Amino acid sequence: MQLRPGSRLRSTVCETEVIAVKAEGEHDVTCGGAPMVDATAPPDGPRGEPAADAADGTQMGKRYVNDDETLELLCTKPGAGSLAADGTALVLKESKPLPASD
Amino acid sequence: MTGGGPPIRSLAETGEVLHRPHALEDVALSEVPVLATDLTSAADLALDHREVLGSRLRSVRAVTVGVLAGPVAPALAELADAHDIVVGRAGPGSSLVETSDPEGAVELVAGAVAAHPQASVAAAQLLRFRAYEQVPLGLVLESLTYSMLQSGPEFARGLRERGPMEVPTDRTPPVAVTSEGTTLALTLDRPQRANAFTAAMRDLLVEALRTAAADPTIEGVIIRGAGRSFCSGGDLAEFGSAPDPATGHAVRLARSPAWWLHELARDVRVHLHGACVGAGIELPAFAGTVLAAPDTTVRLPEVGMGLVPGAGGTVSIPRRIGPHRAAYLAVTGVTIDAQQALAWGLVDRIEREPAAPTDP
Repeated sequence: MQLRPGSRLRSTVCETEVIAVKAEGEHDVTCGGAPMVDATAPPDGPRGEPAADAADGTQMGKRYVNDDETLELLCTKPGAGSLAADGTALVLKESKPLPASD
Repeated sequence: MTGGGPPIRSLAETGEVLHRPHALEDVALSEVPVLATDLTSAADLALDHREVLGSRLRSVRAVTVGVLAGPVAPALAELADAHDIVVGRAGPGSSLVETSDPEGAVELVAGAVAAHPQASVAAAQLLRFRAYEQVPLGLVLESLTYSMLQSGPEFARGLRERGPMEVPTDRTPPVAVTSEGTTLALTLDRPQRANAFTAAMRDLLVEALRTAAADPTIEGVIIRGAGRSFCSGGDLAEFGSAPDPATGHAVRLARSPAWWLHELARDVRVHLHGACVGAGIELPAFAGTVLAAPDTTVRLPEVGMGLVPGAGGTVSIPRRIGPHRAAYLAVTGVTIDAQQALAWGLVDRIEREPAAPTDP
């Protein structure tokens, strides 16, 4: 699927929704092992189940990136499936831990 | 005049004091840097004193208090505005702290200044810039002031008086995030500490607000507090744990809930209840809509700790109630109730929540 910053994707096997924060060109994004679809399209067909090897879940407000960080997705709705792109699992990119400022 | 307060000078006397060659130094280095002036009459105020008075009032290193027994004469309105705090029986509607006992109010201010002169004066000076008119710049100036005071003796004394405290570890996320249709609901969720604000809370709040800003399907954000109070302010246990003041400044601006709340303000509604202290009112005041339960109380305690409000309060609060009332709250640390907060516009409505905030 052609992605650019702002593209919204929906899982077909769980509640997960993401927004592309950083993206360029063609990416094959999956959630729970199944291809994600355009989140603005109306839902169709019965919902499947996340594949057993892709069910670590997504967390609201977290960023997920590919190896070279050319793709960055922001999770806006959490779900049971885990994200992958172009055949490789995306990893959670933690915010830099910052100390208290008081 | 009542007992222990500082003298309340006539305008002519203040004009004379501030015109002396050593005025700035004498006032600045006095034990209780407070300058109180009766603004009801400009009689005997020398013309050449009058010309520089506004500028001297804004230069002087003291908390300046204008006292009004009656309505301010139009000619003196500008001089009233040049003061940090204005107290009295009647006067400019948007800046006056109404009181039937102006001398008592001056004494209250002086007592607070005597206890923490550096922090009190810094709070007043910070508000003189009117930097809150541009939120991002106001946040920078507040943070600079806060960091400056973090290295001072009054904060060091505050930490000594607090004594050693363990930084608490939460077993559950301190902010609960749930979707209610197109609304993102955030609940401050450390009821065991009256939702005292921590770095972990800051991080979760910023994460949620950032997500709301990025997601076009989220139309509104609602913020509530679990338990008896909305938020009791910065967790005392974390005070003194910033690596150093310069790093504190960098962190404050890099991950700022205040900045994000201002960005989203139009779509943010906050439900206050119980104690709303420090960050517990400074952050909500950025929201487009602030609802307060009848039991809401508001207080800015930071000057009493040798600091100034540091969660954005010197920006959000004067934007709602003006710089003079904001200075009064910040310097004195007095508690105001929901009715007073409503009368000043610090909250928009008094309303009981239809259902008590509970877990999702």
